[in-house]
Amino acid sequence: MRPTRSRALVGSCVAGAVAVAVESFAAPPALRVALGLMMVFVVPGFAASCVVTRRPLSVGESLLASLGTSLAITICVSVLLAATPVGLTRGSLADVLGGSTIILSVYAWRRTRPDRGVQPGRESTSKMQP
Amino acid sequence: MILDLAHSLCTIEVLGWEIHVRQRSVSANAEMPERFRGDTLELSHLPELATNSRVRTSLAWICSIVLCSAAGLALIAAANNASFRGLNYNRALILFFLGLVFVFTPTAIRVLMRDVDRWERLVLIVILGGALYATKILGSPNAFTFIDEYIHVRNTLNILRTHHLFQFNPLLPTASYYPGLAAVTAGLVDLTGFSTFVAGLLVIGAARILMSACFFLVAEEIMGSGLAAAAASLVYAANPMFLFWTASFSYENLALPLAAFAVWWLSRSRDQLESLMPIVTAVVIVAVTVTHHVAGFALAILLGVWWLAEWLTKQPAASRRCVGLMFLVAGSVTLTWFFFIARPAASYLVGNNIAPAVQQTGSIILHHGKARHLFSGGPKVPEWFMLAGFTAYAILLFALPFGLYRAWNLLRSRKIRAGYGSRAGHAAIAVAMAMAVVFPFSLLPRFAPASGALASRSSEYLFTGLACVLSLLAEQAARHQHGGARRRSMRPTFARWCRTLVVAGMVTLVLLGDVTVGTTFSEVLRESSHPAGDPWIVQPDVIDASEWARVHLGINQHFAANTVDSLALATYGEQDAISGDSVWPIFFADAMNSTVVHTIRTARVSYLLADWRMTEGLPPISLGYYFSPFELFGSEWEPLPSIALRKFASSPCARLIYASGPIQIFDVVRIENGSCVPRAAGTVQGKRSSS
Repeated sequence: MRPTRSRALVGSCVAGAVAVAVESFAAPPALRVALGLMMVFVVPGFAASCVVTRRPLSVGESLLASLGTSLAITICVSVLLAATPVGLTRGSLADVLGGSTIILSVYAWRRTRPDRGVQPGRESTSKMQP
Repeated sequence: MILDLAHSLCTIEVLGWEIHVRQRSVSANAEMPERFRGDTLELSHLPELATNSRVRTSLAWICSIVLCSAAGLALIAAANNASFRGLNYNRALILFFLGLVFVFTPTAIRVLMRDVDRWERLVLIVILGGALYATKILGSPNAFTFIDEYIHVRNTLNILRTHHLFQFNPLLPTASYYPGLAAVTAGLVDLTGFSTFVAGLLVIGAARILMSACFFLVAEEIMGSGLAAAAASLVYAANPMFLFWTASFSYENLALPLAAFAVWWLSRSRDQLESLMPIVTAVVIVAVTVTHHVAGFALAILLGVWWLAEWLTKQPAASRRCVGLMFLVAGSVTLTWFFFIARPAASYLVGNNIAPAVQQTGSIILHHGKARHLFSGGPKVPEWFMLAGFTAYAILLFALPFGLYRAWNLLRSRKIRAGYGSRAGHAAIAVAMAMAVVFPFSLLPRFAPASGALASRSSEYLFTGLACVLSLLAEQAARHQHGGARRRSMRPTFARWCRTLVVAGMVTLVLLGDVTVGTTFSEVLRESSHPAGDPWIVQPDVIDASEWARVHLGINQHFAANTVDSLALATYGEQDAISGDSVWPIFFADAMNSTVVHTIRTARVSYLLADWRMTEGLPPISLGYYFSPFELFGSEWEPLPSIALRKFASSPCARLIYASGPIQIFDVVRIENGSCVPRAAGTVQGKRSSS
């Protein structure tokens, strides 16, 4: 696993944890805005795309995958929460998005560790990817 | 240093791609009959890739184009400001179009040039998408102003207030059954503390980036050329709905980019059914399904056609299975949601929209109905405005057969190559051709009186295929730049620039013309701060009245108002504004007669909002009515007579509870519950005698 990707996964894990933690106390508005934007547009999708792709995407593709997957995850989670008795609130959304980000990040980190023995020949390839 | 590093990485990627593609092309070409060798798809890469030593991402070009776009946006802002201040609208409009040229043309020229790195093209296309999105924001910088935007603002407010789904939406009941946009916006509001307006802008902005990038990447996958993909993106950006409608806070504008993302992701991962990648595709499909009905169906149909085409062309089994599985997911989820959860959607889509549009169009084709005059209604539209629209469609329709011919050749060459072991798919280009062929027929509903919306909205979908087909012409023009050795040695630079400029100019003309087709003349720019007559956007005094109603009357009161004012009541006031179809007789009678009383009781109207501006001008041109398309307005096209509103003040059963400028709110609860019957009701006097 590339160190950059590993660090990014750690970062997403931390962002998820902070998002969950911040929900329980009055955080500064700037922190709340930054975390909110990251949780809706970037972090869950990045963690999810790291889980499903063993071979790191290029930077541009990774950004695109993070954005699209994050939006899709947030939509599904929001609709699911609002459809249940729990309801869609700041706390419930932060808990579910943050929690799932932590789980996905840890899983992606463990899954792509070098000592897991990922065979180069079995890595995902893409026609778009040179 | 960092820039250099990024630069070198980018170049390596491009070179790597070149090697990959070239190897594939050569091996496939080796066994191919001579006459097909020069016409293969992968050879269309070669104009770019053969000169890859010169392919570099030019930061200077990107910066220059960003500056041009900024200058264009400044011109557009100035034009909107002039319109807002009530200065000469025609001159402001010319300034606006000049600004659009500054935003669009430099990008078009650069991305259509040879020897441009694919990432530079992609970045420029995304920047263009963002700049065109900013154009819409400059027209409505303080609040959402499009009618559909209010529908989704109400949905969002419902979720924020109740924390649950499927709350009643008086503006469009169907919309509350597709809560994807409202839910994600409400989530963003919850997490960040932003207003609904800011959160909505961010969500649709993200969707715009997604759409621009994914469309480019999918087009590149289909046509195998960055230049063709860039041309396709430009043509798609020139569709009539892209500038304003696709940038509005509406559920389709989130669902369609997500669908594009699903297609791109699936195109990357379709060979890896055993991996976890299809899970992401499935999640995105579900997100599309719960966000918009037509986009969900369109995605399911596209996946079905894709699977069928892969099956017919004998693509690898793993790829086929993955696409087929996703088709099943999309089809089953969309149908389940449509029939079991979003039950009102069927009558809304078919009964209210598609069936009448098809019926009217059929009548016109069979000469049973009268065709609508294009650009008609409202004040006189300048000739240049109409000419721009006709020119755009003339270019598209003229280029279409040539594009189809080029696509057919491509398809044939791919088929030949497939027989010689190439895995290059030709299913996608066939699908694009089919969509392009449908495009001219999609223009027919524009001639039907109430079917323009169908034609306009279908362009968002059909332009995907049309853009891919037409982009082949642009790509071919670039390929011809090579020419023979003699031509190369003569004036290569001049010829190259001429071709690029001509293609960029044509696409720019299509963009400008499609703006005139997709938007009513008087609504391209911001409305004046002091509109003459009935305004087409919600006015500040109506917002004040709506907020007063929310505070003093409580939410969810039954209000009757005209269409534009209902938007403010339903959002700022969180009132249940009753459909204009049900309440228009209340406002058109000259006295409080039995019809008025009957309508108030049957529609259960508790409050009336009377906007006296209706008596000063014609209804908004984009609507063509004050309350409902069914409203009877006599034979003449003139403002609402003032007596129609005066009757409320003179009736003892209607109590004036709010008055501010031209806005009045009347309490008619006593009429609604039968405790007070207006004197005129049931008498001869009540039947237009007061006029």
